Amino acid sequence: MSSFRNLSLAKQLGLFFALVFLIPTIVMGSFFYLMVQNTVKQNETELHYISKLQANKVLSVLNIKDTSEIQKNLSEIQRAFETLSKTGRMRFFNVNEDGSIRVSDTFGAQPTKRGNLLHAIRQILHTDEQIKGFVKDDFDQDVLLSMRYFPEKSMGFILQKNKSEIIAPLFGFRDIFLATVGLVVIFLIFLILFAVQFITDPIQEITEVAKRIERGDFQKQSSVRGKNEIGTLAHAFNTMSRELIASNQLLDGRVKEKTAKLQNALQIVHAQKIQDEALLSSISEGMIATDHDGRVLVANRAAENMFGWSLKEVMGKPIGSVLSLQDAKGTPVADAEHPGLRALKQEQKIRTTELLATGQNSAFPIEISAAPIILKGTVFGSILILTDITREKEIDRMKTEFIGIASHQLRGPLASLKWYGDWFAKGKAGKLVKTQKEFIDKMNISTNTMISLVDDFLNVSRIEQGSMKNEPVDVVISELVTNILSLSEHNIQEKQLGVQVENASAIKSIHADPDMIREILANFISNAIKYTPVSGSIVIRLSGDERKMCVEVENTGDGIPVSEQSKIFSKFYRASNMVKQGIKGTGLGLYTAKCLAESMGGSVGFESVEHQSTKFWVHLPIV
Amino acid sequence: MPKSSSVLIVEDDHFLSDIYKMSFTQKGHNVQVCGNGKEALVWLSSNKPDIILTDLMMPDMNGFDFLKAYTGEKGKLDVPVIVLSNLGQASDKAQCEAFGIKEYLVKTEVDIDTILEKAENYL
Repeated sequence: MSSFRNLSLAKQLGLFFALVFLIPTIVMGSFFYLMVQNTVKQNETELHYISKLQANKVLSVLNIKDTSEIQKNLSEIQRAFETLSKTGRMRFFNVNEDGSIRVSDTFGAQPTKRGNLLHAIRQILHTDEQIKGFVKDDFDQDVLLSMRYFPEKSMGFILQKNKSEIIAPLFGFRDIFLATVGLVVIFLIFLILFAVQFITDPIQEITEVAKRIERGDFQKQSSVRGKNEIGTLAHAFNTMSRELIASNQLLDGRVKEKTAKLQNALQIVHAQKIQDEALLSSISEGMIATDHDGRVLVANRAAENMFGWSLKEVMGKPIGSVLSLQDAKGTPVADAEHPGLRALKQEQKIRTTELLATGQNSAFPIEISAAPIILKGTVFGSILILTDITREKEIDRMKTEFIGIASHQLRGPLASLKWYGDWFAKGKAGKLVKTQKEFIDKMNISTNTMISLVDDFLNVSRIEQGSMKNEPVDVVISELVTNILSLSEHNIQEKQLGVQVENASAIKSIHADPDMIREILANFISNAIKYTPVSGSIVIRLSGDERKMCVEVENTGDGIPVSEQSKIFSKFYRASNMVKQGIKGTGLGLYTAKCLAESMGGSVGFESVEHQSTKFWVHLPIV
Repeated sequence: MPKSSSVLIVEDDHFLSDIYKMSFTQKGHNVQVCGNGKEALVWLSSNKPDIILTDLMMPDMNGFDFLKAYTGEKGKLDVPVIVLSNLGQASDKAQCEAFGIKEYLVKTEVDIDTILEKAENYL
């Protein structure tokens, strides 16, 4: 069925009409055939009936006693028969004593075909059965036969009717049928031609036009006219393509207009881009921007020069591999710690000066300022500003080294000052008058301040150079605290301070560098002594478990102003209220304590209530 | 009055060696001052003090080398030694203690009376 659908309209129509023609033809043909059959049968019956009805009548009428009389009166018999029956032809035959058969009229019969008739006669003699259907007679003509035999007279007659005589009445009907078929065929051919010309041709043309429209060619118009459906269709097509042309032209105009606008905008964007690029490449700091997955989007020329790659090479690569970092010990920085990724994850600015970046040849210290790029409240990516701080680090290192050397060299003369001053103060160089004693005491205090300042400088420079040696041994904290307190006994008594050590047995011992831990605790304790007003109190509280220990040093006093609390562990920082009171200090003690605690894997912190108390604490791992 | 002892001071800073000498002499001890390790070794080759007080950072031969050379000859220190130095780190102290010294003092942390007191403990 589908193959029928695939045929062109003309072929479909042709097939349809052929089918319409074929069915009545077959029906009519079958009807004609049945009619012929029926006529033959009717004739046969009629023939037998007449032969039966007339047989004795024929004999009695003619009063024939033997066959010789038949021969004599043949024409008379014929005539008599014709009056009896208008159907067929009657022929007589007699059977001789020797069994041979003689048929009455054989004029015009073909002798060679005589057997046809004899054979039929023999059948009636022996079986008394009529022959059905057409047989050939001795004239070689198709005939229907009906025979009657009278044995007592050894004769019979044959009633026969020619096929042509039977069929002839039907011929008129056949001719009408054939003529009708011919006319129908001609009519159909005309109909197909008409259909092709008036239906399929216009449709094909419209189809062609439609295909052109499909290809975007609207110029071809359909030439089909008329008021029927096809004409209307063609007209609709033509209107449509005209409208399409018009709308296309309109669209074309708009596209051109928009394109011009876009080109204009593009030029502005391009100019802006060039400006932005110039801006970025003019920044002396390296700049890398990433998307929200930490993949490189943009990098400026300074960044390219800093690392020796080009933006094309690194675009789309993860920032962790493009900007590979390591800490001071050379351990690579994991992605979770990478400033660029931390800025993205924590959505806050990250600044670090402690890391080294892997450069073209070697690692170099780098300052990284990473910040999330936030667009309408969503983190869109991150931006990293990179500064090579090799020179700054070198200057810092030289400064630290200088302080170290200078401080060390200062210790010699300071020891000398201290010893001689002490010698003097004790009157060993001669008895001093009151004012002399006062002055020399002040000199000695200054010397001691200078000594502690130098000690602090030395500590800081060692920590910063990394030359502070960490040699852990088992340290009993309570003993260390007692020892530090005993060294400060003089100052404690002088200020009449109440000093208490709580939970001294809470920590047995800790495996740590004794110098470092002493430095931390001595700083806290000496600060407490220094900043506690006369008659104030100090509590040293020990606590801890199997894994970590905590020492708290709490003292009464002015506390640390809230506004300055965030800076308290900064290098050289001193609380303003203490400076105003003229209490001497270097501003390095807490910084040193913080650095040391962190280098031991611990931490320091404090709580302070202004005009009330301050509590410093250090947490250290036990092992 | 404690007995008079022989004290060897190894110190390159004259100001300091002077005050050592002054305080120890006042207590009735005999004081020998050497400016560096080399001088001390020369003096020690023909003398045996009751105690040695040595600095560490000195020209020509520093305290560490001096202690090494001195113990090297005898196998161990047969005289009590007190180290008085500007070096305060645990590693310096540990290095000296390995020679079997009696005390390790940081100069700026003590006064001369303390030194005298400590020294007399070993006399």
